[in-house]
Amino acid sequence: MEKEEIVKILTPVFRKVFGDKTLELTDQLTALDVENWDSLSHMLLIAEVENQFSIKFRLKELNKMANVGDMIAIISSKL
Amino acid sequence: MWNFIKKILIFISPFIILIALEVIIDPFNYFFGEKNPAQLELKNSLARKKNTYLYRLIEYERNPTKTIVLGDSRAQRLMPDFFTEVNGEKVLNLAAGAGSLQDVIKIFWDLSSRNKLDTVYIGIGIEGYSGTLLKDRVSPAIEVKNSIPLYLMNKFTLESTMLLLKARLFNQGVEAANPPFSREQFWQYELREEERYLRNYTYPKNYYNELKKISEYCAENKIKLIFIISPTHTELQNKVNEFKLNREYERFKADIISFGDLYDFNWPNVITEKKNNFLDPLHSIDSVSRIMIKEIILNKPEYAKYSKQSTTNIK
Amino acid sequence: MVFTSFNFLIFFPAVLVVYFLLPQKFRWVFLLVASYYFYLNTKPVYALLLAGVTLTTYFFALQIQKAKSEKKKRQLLIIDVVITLLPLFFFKYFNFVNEGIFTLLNYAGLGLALPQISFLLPVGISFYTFMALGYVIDVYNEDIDAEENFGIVALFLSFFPVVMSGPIERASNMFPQFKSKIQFNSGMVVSGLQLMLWGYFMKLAVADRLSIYIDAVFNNVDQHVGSSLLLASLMQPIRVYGDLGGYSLIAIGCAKVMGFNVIPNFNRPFFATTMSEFWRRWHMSLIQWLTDYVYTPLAFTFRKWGVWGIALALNLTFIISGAWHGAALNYLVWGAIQGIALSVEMLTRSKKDAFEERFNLKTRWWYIMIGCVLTYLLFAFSLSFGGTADTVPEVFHIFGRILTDSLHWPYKDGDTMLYGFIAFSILFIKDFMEEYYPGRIRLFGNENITVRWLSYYCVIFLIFYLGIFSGENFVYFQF
Repeated sequence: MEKEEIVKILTPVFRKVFGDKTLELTDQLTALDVENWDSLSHMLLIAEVENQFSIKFRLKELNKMANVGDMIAIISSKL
Repeated sequence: MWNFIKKILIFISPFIILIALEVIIDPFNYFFGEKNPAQLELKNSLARKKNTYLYRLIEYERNPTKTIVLGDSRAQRLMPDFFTEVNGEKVLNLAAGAGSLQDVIKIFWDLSSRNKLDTVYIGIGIEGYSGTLLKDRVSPAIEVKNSIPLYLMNKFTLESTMLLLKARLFNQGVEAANPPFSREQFWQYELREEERYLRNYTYPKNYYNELKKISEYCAENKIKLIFIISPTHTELQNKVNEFKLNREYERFKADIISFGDLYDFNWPNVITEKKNNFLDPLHSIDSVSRIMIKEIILNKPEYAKYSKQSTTNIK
Repeated sequence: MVFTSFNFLIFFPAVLVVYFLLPQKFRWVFLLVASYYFYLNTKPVYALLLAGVTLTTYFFALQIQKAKSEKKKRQLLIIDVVITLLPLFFFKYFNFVNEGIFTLLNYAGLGLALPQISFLLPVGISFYTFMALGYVIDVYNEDIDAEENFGIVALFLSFFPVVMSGPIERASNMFPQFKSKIQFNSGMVVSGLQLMLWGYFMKLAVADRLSIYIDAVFNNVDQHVGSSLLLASLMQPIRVYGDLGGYSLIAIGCAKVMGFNVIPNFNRPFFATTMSEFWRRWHMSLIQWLTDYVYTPLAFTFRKWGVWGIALALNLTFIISGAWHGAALNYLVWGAIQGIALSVEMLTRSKKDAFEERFNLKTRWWYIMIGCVLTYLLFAFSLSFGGTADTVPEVFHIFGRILTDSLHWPYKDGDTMLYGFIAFSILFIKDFMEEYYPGRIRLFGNENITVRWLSYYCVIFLIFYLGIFSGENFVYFQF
């Protein structure tokens, strides 16, 4: 899948989990930039992402996600 | 880096000077004994007032006596000189103003563990024999005494040093303190304080157990344990009635009698009815203290109700 | 050796002098020696335990890194975790589990008496155990390379500023610092000393002073009226903040003087308006550790259950945190209270946010103040379980007394209350200014050297006058 397609599917997921209808995704986006994105909602995000893309993350991979860019890369590697 | 070290040395120099002063002036006779009687009097009125227990414990360590007096401000008025007048015996009075039974107990165990005692006089009253007076000011004093750095960094040492320094620099002697109240005002104030103690009175199970331990220890080690209830003015004595604590007062006395001999001066008589015999409702004047000590040492109770130790009412 | 003992006041400058005079490459060796000397001054035998944990950690980290298969790595990790936790479990929880088993057997009719053990808990074991586990797990997760230099690993686990009571550090933060070139930096030295000075104020003037009242009341529960118990309970959070917060500052400052940056542990916790925020400001190194190594794996495992999975993970994590604090049921209850509070906050967050948006509450000072007060009260309530009494029934007994016996004036201890109040006010004002008006008042940080030095002298004076100097009286000590 192309990166733009991933972002297209990912954006509504982010918007839903963090309750922000105007959120735009960039590669450098991190939890510090988004209100309501903390360790509690992070796991909800992960579960939703897994659902949407029908993939399964591994715990080790979570640690490697420093920003949205990393997440997209890992998603891409699983598709 | 050396620049920085120089700065640090300058920063700590005031503390070095302070420590030097504390050692030289030595308000509590910690490092040296005090031979000069004028200085001794000065230290007594300045340093001892700041921390009576620290001062007296150090004094005891320098010149241990076989007889000691413990208790609160009433017991404090049983001056060592009055004892010496009667039978030449050297006595040390380690009582302190607002002293609690907790203080008495702590001092007892500290001293008896280090020296063989002959006689221990404990001044006591129902205000002290109460579950609400639990403060322990002796343990911190003992800790300070046993640790040079603690002693040097202590606020009592600091303040006493400064006061003594000021006295020496301006050639001041011991001044009589001018009380901020009139005699009548203070009289009323002391009555209110007594009411406060009695209002909050609860039976002190902890003190019962602790005094029992002391009593047993004294019996085993042949130490004479004598309790003294100092006389208070009848106006104050009546407060016990007022607060309906008569039963508790009798129980208090029965407890004390089970621990040791008791000289109870605190009952309505010629002495206690006259205000002239008192500085304030709680504290009698020196001549009364002399009478008390004479009666106790010679065991000729006249103004005292004497009860020999009796364990017939063991709880 | 404790930070508030005179031995330390001699030890630390001595260590500093040698440390900065030594050439760079010997410094970490010297620190290792000094750290073990420091630790041996508590109870020598337990240094063997620390060394043992260090050896296992060092060995297994290297093995895990070398292992080829995922399966082998995981096996090694599990073995290491079990071995590392064994001493902690043994010293801390043996009696607790013992009693539990005994009670169960009793119910089954078998009155077997299992032997009780009374060992003193080795100092710092809860802290260095967690640090060791964190390192090995990080190696397993490939977040850090296994360290080949045994001395560095040994220094990490015994580093004297943090070994006794934290902050709980990470290998990824400390290893590079231990190996780097440390120049004498007078700015860092001054900054570190400032932190230490303030830490001493918090510990000696606030915590130790309040402890006199709190301990007097709670050591004699039945002799005091309910209002005293209430007052003492309300003082507890401040006491713990002064104690652990102060001690942490001394640790962090101490490390800073030597050129090391250690993670902060407290961030003005009483200005949190929710429990969630509170736990981002209180004992941060512990929470970070629990989040990374307990909460995240748990929440990951339960992620299919959505918010309920998160709530479960939260509660389990905080119950474990409770267990880390103490081996008794009341600590677990303390943990559960935090878990429940956080879960409730999480589940109601969107509704709360909407409510606050609607009335624009977040900017109203009184709303913020109510939030702070409620959070404080909730934490004070939970502390009754986590460190006041020894058993749950005792805690309820105290609550009962508070509810039924509070119509009298509380126990009054003039000096203690006055000095405690003054000390706490100073602490509060400082935190308040830093929280809402940062940079407005500069004392320690003032450009003028006279102002700075006067402030130092003032604080030292306050420590002497308001503070208590009886050495070893530190609440988190038996960890």
